[in-house]
Amino acid sequence: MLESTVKKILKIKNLRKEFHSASSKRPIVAVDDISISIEEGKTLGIVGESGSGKSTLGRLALRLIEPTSGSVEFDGVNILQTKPAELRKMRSQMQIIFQDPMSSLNPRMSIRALIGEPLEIHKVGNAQERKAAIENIAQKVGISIDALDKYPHEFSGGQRQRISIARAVINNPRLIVADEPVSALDVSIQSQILNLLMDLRNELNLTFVFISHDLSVVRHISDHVAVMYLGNIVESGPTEDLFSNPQHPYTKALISAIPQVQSSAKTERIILRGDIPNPADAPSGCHFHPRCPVAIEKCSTVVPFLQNVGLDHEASCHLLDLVTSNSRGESK
Amino acid sequence: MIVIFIIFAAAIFAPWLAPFSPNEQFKDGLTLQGAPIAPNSTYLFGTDLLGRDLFSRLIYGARTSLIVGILANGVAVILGTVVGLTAGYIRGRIGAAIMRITDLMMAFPALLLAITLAAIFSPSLLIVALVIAMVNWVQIARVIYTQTISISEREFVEASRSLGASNRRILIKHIFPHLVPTVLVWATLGIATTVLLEATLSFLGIGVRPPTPSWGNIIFENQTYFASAPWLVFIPGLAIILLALSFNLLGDALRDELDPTQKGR
Repeated sequence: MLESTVKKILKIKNLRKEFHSASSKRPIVAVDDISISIEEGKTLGIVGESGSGKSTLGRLALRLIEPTSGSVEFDGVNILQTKPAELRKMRSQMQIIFQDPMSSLNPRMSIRALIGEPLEIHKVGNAQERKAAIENIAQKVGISIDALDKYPHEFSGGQRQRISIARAVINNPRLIVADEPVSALDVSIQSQILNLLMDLRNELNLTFVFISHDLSVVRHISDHVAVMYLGNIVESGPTEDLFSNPQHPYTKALISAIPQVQSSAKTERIILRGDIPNPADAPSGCHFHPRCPVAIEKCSTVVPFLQNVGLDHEASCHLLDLVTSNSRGESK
Repeated sequence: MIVIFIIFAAAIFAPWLAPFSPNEQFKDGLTLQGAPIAPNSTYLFGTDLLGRDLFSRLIYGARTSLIVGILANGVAVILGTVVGLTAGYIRGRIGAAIMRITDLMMAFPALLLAITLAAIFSPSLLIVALVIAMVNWVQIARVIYTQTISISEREFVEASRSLGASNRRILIKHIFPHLVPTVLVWATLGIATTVLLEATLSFLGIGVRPPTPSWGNIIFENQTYFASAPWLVFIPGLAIILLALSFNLLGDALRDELDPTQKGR
């Protein structure tokens, strides 16, 4: 496996999260032995259907949920072993933007108070400095200063998301986990918010973990993409590599389903049968095999592992064994 | 509202309002046979069994009943809120354990508990208030508990946590403001209950002891004269009803005002 020598700001190793529910005897494995890392300043896109575990992974990365096992290293520090008080201080460096702009803002607080909360929590600057910082960031995200004393319900969805973004970046974090930040917005607003995120990213040199089910959005914003299915990463690689040369059947199906603007090229859409299975009752072997159009017998019994299929590009599929065994000596 | 205002005013200004000292017995307060006198021009509401002016006693009684009621309710609300909030925020096994204990307390029949406690500790105003509080705080705790749980699960609390907020901060700045409407409603509605309870206790003879007047013990003292001097029982009774009703209405109105989902009705 080729490891880049650039510093990884976030390193996730063998992360696993099990949920225990009263209704099923077996624990529900939301995140199954996931290892992935990101370089500072890059954007990692995590794609998957609902139930794939991507949101859970996002929250685990920030330790908003406690993992069952594994490690999460932020800037070299294993945050899973950090004490609560120390962890709280570290939080100013790693922020999250939620999917629902309304519920993540306290309806009883003014926008000014909401945006300024990180500064208050971490005791940054005096009252004047904070006021200036709040106004500065508000302008940057496109909220007018006279609106600062209003309350969340007085704003539109897109504006509320801007407010959430302002709150997330005001204290200069280094890492931001964006959990479906535009999924709840109108399509026309989505591109505005995405552009805002990208501008901020460039200006503040932010590292992003961008979680979404929307492939075209992820393609637009990410440097590196990981595709998740039922708790596993089935494929990951540099964005353009993954999109132009997908290796996993699931990835291929997802990409084929992206609506094409140019109707001239009529792509063959791979339609997947069935729905994503209940995580409490995950299929044996490769989780994807019941829906896979090219599954072979081995797929239902043996769990595939991630193999190298290109520069920084991995996928976990038994069919790849056939490919690599055919074209001999191709490991990079 | 007006009724409450009047009652409050009466209670506060009692010493000036009452024409006579409540404890003073008058020679002409009783008929020749020693029976109470019906309402007349001198004694507005008549006199009681000992010749004391009912009106004055009623006014002073307002003071007593209100003090006990508000004190009891205040303690109950504070205790209930603290317990409910703690249990609701900590949740898990500890939270559940706290609520089990609370449920245990709820199992005690209020009146029985009150009587027992009153029998053990000789009732002064304070004791009566505390007894009532002991009985009432459980309901509040339970309501606050469920509310706290549902509020702490809302996303903005998670958002605050992700910003690095300490638990204390979350509790004070985020969760408690959402509980205020409920607490306020209970604070007002609760007074109706506590006043009634006080009246009941006094009526049973284990509340405020005479000669200190309280509406309940006025009825208590004058029970036997029910037939011959009905005003002695009816008037305090009416006062209690009015007070309870007014606080109930106030509490209802407050709740409707503060809860946006109820406004439709």
